[in-house]
Amino acid sequence: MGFHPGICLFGGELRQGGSIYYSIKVNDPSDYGVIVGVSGKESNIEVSVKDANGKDVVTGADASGADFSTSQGGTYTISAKNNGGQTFVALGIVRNEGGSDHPFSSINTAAASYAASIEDAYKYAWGIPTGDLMVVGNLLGAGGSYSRNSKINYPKWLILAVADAGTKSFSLSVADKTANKTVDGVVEKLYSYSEFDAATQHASIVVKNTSQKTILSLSGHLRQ
Amino acid sequence: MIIQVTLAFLMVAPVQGQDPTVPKQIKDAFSKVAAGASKLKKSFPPWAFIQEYACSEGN
Repeated sequence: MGFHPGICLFGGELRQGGSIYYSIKVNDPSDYGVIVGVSGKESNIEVSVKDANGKDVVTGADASGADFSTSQGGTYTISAKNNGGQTFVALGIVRNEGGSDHPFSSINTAAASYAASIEDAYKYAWGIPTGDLMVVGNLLGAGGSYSRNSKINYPKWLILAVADAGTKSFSLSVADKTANKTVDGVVEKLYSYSEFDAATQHASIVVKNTSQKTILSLSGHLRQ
Repeated sequence: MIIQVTLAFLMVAPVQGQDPTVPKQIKDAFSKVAAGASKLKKSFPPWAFIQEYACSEGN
């Protein structure tokens, strides 16, 4: 996937023993925190952070997450394993200094919209993927955009996107590069979506902030 | 009779992936992340760049 700034949240419905991981590339030394959120016991989630050589760089940890330092620029891999029963696991990454002052309460706003959007999608026979990354969240400055590529194996799928500032603050565009087909997001009250009816090896998902202020966007996929 | 039984089964068969508790799970999980982030008094990381991500199946 491409490099882009501001991504900060991940979430997925994980079975027992399932795990989620992501790698970040940092440009300078700093202290970071990984925060775990789960509907259940955080102690069931095992978090690790390793550098490019596989060395553990966690400087402190408790049930709610772990701190780590990047002694120099490079790639670091954060992973979370679910040792409990199936549940939704969310991860957030924060940095000590130099970050955005966008309020963390925006996470609640965006997550509430995402949850309500899923309830709505259930009515149209859409379901959530299990054992799969489901939601990615990122901060977008005014006019900024975020893109990611994904392989989606479901015969029918859709990309769902929300933002803390509502659907008028962003645009969604999804391309199935395999089928050479692009679908711009259909805007609903709470969310925007792009629907496809064939599995793809290469879905390109783009969320663009069309407002004049920073927004927090959550996007993910549902399937039939 | 067999057809009737089959139809009845199809009519009540749940759609895959529609656990009604998931929306609440999502709100709960992200709410804890928001609370944890506020407690740490850190900030969103504009200079953390994601290279790749993945998820592995559990049991």
